[in-house]
Amino acid sequence: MPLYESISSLTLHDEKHTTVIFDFGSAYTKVGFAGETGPRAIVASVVECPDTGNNVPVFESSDPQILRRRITLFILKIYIRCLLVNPKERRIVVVENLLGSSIIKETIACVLFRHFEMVSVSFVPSHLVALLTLGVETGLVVDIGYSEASVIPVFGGVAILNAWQALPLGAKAMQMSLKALLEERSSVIGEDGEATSLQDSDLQLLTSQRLEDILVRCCFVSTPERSERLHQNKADRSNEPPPPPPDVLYPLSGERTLKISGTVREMAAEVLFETDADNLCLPSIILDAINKCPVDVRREMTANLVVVGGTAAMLGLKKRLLQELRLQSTRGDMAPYTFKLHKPPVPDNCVTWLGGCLLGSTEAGLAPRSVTREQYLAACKSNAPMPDWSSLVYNTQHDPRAPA
Amino acid sequence: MAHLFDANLVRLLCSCGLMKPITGIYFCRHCVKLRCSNCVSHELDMRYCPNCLENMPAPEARLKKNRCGNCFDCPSCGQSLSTRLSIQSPDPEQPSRSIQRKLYFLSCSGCRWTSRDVNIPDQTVATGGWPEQEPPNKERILSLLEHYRAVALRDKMDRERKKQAAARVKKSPASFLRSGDAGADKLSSVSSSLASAKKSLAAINTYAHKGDTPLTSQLTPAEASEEVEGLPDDIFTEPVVLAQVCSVEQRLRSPEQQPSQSSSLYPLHKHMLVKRSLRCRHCEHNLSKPEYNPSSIKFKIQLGAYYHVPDVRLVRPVPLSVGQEARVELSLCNPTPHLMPLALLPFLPHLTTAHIDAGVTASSPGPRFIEVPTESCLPELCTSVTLPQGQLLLAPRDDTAEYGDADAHNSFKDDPQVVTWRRANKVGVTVCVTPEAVTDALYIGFLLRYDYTNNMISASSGLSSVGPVSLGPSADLSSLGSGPPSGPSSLTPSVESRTVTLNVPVIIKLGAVSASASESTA
Repeated sequence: MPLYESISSLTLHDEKHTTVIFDFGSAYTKVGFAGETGPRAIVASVVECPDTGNNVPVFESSDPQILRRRITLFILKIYIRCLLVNPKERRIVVVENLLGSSIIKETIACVLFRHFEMVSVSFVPSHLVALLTLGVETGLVVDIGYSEASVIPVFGGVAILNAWQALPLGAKAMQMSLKALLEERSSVIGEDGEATSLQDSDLQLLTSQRLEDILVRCCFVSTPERSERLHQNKADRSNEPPPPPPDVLYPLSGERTLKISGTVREMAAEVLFETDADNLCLPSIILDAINKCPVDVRREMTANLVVVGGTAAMLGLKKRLLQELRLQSTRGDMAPYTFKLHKPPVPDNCVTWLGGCLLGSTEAGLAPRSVTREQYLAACKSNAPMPDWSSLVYNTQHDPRAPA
Repeated sequence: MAHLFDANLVRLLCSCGLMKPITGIYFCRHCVKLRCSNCVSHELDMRYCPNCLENMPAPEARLKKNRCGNCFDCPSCGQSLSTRLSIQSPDPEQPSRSIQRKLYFLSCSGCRWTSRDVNIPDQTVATGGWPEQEPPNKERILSLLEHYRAVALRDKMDRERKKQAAARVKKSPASFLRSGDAGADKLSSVSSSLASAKKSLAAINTYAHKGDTPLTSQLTPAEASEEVEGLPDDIFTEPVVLAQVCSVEQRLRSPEQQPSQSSSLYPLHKHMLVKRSLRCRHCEHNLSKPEYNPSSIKFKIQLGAYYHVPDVRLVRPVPLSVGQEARVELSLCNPTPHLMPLALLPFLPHLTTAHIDAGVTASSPGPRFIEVPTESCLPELCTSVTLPQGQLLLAPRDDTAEYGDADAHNSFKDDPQVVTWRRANKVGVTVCVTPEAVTDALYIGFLLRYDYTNNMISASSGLSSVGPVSLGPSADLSSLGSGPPSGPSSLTPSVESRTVTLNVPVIIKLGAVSASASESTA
């Protein structure tokens, strides 16, 4: 069958050249192929633990062996359930957070090269490639994810690393805040129609998934004026709070219904804007990052804000962030800047994925940025397999002052 | 009786160092080693739709993004959608037209979602023609892709040009001689590099994909705006109807659209499933290969360990208490059609791991072979275990045995101290365990040493009976003897039969150990 042969050989050839793009997140992982307009799948970063059978988060382990086993299972699951291609002999782009853990990076590289025998793997910095989706080279990239929010300014395609800022403010912090607020201010309607405060059994039902669902479907980020009045009320009950938004009845189980009060709906996200013990919050770290940039580039930074990450899609968050930035910048001794926000062409949680995809779509752009399997195996013997910006070995290499 | 079928009680130690139940382990007959899903390479054989069981070739699957063209999933709950028929009665305004029309719509039998809910027009044909959803900003993303392709190409050419120029300057001896007039040299090298750039440009243009990759791509960069979309005006007054707001799961089902309102949900094409085959990394032989037909659940090749390794089961759970000897009864079953001499030996973890490491270095892999890192996940094993001494014989598996008279046990001279019962190809043995401390789960381990007769159809005839090959962890443990006579070499020269002695580490989870039972009985 010459016809079939020619077709199959052609596809085999083509298939091998499709680069796979991974964007591993602590809550959701985005995967897809190069040259496409969006990820094929967004899957929760959990795997079934072979010993207990429970779903466990993939990246939340400090034991390298457990981490490796989980990542192996997870990548295999992605290939078999979502991508449906042979894992072997492929080029890979992994979108990494520059501030992420090196153990996770090393383990991902180990799994991809050793278990799945990839041709080459390229780790690209997420903040940098987020700008590719806009076609600009300069911008202040704010990535608000599940476990942390990180800010890295990029000028002319180069990350200004000494101005990085990060805080553990993300969906996880909001979930914790929501749980505390629900416990304090909400009630549960039982089978008999009586409203009682939350019992321990109800708190057990408030899993991370359910809290996430409540945040996404019921909660929003309030306006600065209302937030101010809410905080005044919290400090001194004599102050009149703003009229609360309507309550929501949220089914917890067959007979229990959670009555989420309107104040909880609007207060849950306030944790991002409340200053912590170090007097830091989301707007303040963005301003700090701007202030750490060279003075000549600050104006460009403020005019090119890019907010990405799944949490950034929360209702009203971007607007509030801009308002707070304008408000707080006038308080300090900052020059008056205009704050402008970019609108990426894809949903917020896919922006960094699309950036990796744009970079991975071209052989010419990918080849010089990737580590091949041969290089990896050779480097394994010298105990520093993956290039890392934080390692002095790779930073002094191109420095003209360094001894050759 | 549940413990008999609880696969996780008795686990085997795979050659990669992971503990897996016998159902999760494969036996490579060519390497004569245990393999598990961690240390084999997975290959995808074919894609098929789980609803219509239609298989889809790779190019089509790539085109359709691994989704079936005809079957749909409910965007609300994920169930399969079914096509419903509705007969349109004659239009009341035009009574002259009395022809009935058949109209089709999609409906979910799970959550009652229909395509009419989101105003998708009914179709006149059952098979489809359903409108497709385009990703938003598709044009923009495609132009971005084009742009960066061009930028990368330009980058690459620049690099090559630099490299060539550098090489030329180094090579030509004239450059050393004429080092005085550097200006002329620089000029000439620039012009020549320009020429080479032109050449490479021409070459790219001829090979470029349909020639649609222009080298100079103009892309308008995105504009930042001072205003962003804020909260809807009615959010502080209008109550939330939960059913109208999509959950995270519903949003992520269509990653490119991510609808936030349930009114913008859209039927999803059914995602394909795959059949996969497993291949040993060391010898590249197939360990498992399914049949090509999507509706068949059979295998062409299935080298599961339960066909080749004696099956060890816990006969009944025993109460355990500290300091008191418990008799744990195990059953051993021979799945092969050969007589199997077998012995239980103490399991020394450090020796076995050394054995694994030695095996890794000893096996001569191919040049492009990469070893999977070995794992170590052994639990704390109970040390005071008395295993049955001596060797016992397992009768070959015989499917007719249960119909005949069960007098087979007469032919074996069993030591009653070792074998407690014998039935067809099974025997029962007793292991004495003395727990030392209170734990939630007590583990015991032993080495199952048995003679395995391997029948392999080999192309080369002649060589047949091979003596026992010891794969033991240490040389001082002598092999169990020659075992059954090797296959008659004169009858079938193409079938090579060889007997090897194998050691399989078995780890059994016995359950919780109580503290006070010994005192109360004493």
